[in-house]
Amino acid sequence: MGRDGRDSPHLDHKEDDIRIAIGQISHETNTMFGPPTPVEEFQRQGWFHGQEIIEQYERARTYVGGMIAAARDLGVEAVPTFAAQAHPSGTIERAAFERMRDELLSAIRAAGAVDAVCLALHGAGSAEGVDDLEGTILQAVRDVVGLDVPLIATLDLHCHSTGTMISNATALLTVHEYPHVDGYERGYEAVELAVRALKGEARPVMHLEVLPMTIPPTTSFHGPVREINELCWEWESRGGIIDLTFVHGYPHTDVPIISTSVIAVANGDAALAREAARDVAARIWGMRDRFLANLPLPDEAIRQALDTDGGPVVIAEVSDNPGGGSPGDGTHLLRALIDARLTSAAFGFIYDPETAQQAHDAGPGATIAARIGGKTDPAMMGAPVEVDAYVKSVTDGQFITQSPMGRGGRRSLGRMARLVVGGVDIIVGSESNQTIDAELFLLHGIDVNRYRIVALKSQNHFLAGFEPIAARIIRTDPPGWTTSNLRSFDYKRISRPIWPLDEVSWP
Amino acid sequence: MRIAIGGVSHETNTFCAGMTELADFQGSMWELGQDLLDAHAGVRDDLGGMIDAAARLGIEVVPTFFAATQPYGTISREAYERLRDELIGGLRSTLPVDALCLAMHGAGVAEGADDLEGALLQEIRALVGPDVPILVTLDLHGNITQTMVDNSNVLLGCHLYPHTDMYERGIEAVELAQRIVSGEIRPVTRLAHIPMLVQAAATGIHPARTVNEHCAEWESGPGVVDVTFFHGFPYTDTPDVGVTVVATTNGDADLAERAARDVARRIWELRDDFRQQLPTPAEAIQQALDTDGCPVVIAETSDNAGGGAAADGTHLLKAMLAADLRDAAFGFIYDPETVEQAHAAGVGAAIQAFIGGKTDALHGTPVKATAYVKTLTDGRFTLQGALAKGMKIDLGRTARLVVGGLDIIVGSDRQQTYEPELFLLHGIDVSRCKIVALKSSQHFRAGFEPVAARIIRTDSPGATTNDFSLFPYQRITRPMWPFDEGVGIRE
Repeated sequence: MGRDGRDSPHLDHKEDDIRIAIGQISHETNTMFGPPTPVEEFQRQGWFHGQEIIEQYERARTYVGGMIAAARDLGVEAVPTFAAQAHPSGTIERAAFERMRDELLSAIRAAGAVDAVCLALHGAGSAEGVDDLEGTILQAVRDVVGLDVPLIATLDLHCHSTGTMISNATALLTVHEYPHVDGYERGYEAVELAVRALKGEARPVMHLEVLPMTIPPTTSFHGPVREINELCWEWESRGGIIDLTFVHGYPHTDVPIISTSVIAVANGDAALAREAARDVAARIWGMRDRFLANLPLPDEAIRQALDTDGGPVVIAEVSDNPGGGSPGDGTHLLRALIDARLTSAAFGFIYDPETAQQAHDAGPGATIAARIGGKTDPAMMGAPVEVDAYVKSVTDGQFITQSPMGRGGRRSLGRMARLVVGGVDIIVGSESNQTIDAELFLLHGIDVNRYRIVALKSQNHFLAGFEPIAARIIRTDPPGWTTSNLRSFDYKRISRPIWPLDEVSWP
Repeated sequence: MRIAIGGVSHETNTFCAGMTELADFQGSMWELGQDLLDAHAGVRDDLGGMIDAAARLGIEVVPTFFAATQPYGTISREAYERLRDELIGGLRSTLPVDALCLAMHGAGVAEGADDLEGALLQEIRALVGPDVPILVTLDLHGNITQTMVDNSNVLLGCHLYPHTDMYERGIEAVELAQRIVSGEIRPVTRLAHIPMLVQAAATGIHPARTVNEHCAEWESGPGVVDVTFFHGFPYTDTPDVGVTVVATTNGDADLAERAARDVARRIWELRDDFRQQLPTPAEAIQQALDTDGCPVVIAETSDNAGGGAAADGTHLLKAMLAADLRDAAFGFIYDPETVEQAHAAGVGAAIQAFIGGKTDALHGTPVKATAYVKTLTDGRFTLQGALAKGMKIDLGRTARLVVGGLDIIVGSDRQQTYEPELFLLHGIDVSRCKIVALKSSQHFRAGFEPVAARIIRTDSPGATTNDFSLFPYQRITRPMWPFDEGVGIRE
């Protein structure tokens, strides 16, 4: 599938005149677990209009930050409209979706005549009655601005790519990296490409190749994804291909559109786009077995860690990743660390506002009878850990991300506490969030380099912040909402057959 | 072989308004028997060195009694008598032993004993008799007296300031004890006194380093066991105050005398180099801002709890707030009231605080500020740096407040800041700060020199100021340099 380019009447745009509307609606939706996400969650976590968007994002290494920087560097006007985001959670309520859609559309209308629109979307958004949030939004924006205005969106690679998205967008630019350290660069590129399109220097045409497969979250820093990325970059270097991306897809949701796919954006040549996309898709299919995960349970992970020379060994509990919609209060790994009677381990962090409040009330120096974690789904994720815990320090949970992925971004995790149970330092927080760098530990007085084992909840985003300092990285996959063991999910709506759940032949 | 270990260690600032009481020792370090071993095993201090050396040499260590507390005012009579009785009683109960290794300071002053160490050593010598070797590790800030020399066999002052070599002196004490008991050496000690008051002088730089090199040259010669330059402790108003050189040889009194005199002469020649010119707080801040790189460490030498100061002075803190700095941290200021207020208000609150300046007028008035409470801690951490690594620090409860672009750590115990660990506990990475301010005279160098872009010491009115003219000396022996003309030394 592709979208025909048409000659634009605005080919002679000069930078001084160019106005590019920028906006964002970003959510990774897990329709299988967790209550529906109301609009209040977006309003609380990230809800900005107009100039607020500039203030919030201009110094952060994120998609919108990249768009703002590119506009400034190219001397075009970035017209901020509406931006909303929330961390991964359950199906977006219908009313929330409609509200966000209406906010975005009315802000774009109110911006007057714009020459292009650049949106930071996610790709795995779903609302009640709207499986394909991004396709629906892109279509609605296209209806407002018309066919001649370049409409370019950045995407997370955990995206369900659909025909609706391809046919309504001028170009889709998906990050290549996971951890998504290149979100800023994609945002920058989106504005750059819009300007080139306006000046007639580029005429994007797209091709989408969908594979009947789904993969667990897999890093791009090394391994099979890196090899695929290198193939994509080789295509991009030959000229004619503006962008070629392996879109991993998002498996922790139950909608018909989940898939793994390849999106090619070529400069005017639809056949080239198709050829490139199919080449990469075939390579992915050929190495699909390498995406099967076989991860140890916590006890085994700890054993492996203790057998490793040096430290710190980072153990990531991938199945309870708030960055994938899991609540972050599972206790399987935490319990295993305490039971192992370790003398040098740090856990950062577990989501438990009750225990955090209890620690704040008791104050540093006190010992509390704590029930840590395990409150959202004890049956699958583990019951609360009942221990006497020493309160070492309590904080306001505010820090600034240092990881290359999103550096400069302000995080606020509410009241937090550092507890000590035997030889294990445990950080407890009041907001669900994955840990992507050591800042959280530093805030609580912990230098991770001194610990034998550092445990955290994340699937891959932690790599950018921890790979440079870890002696070894071990992923553990006990039962949880974001487990890599995809066969354990009771899917009802996904399109079958799909590998690895079913035997499939392709093409 | 059996060695009894123990001691009493205090650096007494007789200008402090209050006295050092028995409760201060009991609440700080008060170690009997096994407690002494537990507290110092694995710690890089003098007793830790003694314990390790004895283990290595297969010598039985008998722990007796050790007590110490933060430098502060004259030790009360009650405290002195109790300390004396515990130490003497503890030693008595271990006899017979082959040697005594004692950890002391050298600048202790009590009601009824201007020379605390001399008085204790006199009684100890009377207890054990003339044949049991007595070796004493000391701080180079000791005001060493002939009484101390006469009632011991070897005095081992640390050579370094920051005192990163206390552990090594402890090792040496036990090694020498063994060599004395075996008859291999017969120590003879001579002392040279210089009527000089010296400001806190780090031994990593001239002139103290130059003098140390001179001592080392003497020590490299045959028959010389030790030559130590004792800086003395100037914040004391007793007749013994001053600089001393203590030289110990193997049986050669004349050699010891010559060594002591020679080093004393060298120190006297360099006396003008010992005068320091320190900037005011405002000047120090400007110098820091003009410096490339991070962090620049500003040390308020005049409010050093390590010398008996109150650690709640506000001169530097006020200047930093007035300068409206970004990326700056102050760690820490003593103010248990403000800590209490922060804990009661809770994390996330903004409090109307009056910070510091509650001890007296000399150290400045309280700083009035609206402060955001970011973090509260239990104030406990373990030293990681070259100075006393392994020692446990307890500041009582603490708070990290934020006022504008300045992070302020407030603590509940009067102590100096030795190293970045204090800041880490509160979530601050000092390498990201433009300016890091702290209260210490020189000890902080051990922890901060490895990380600082630059170190600036600042002087302001305070109990450990460089400006000795602020103190009402009445009992020091005159003439005394730098106060008097016509001071000379015995050649």
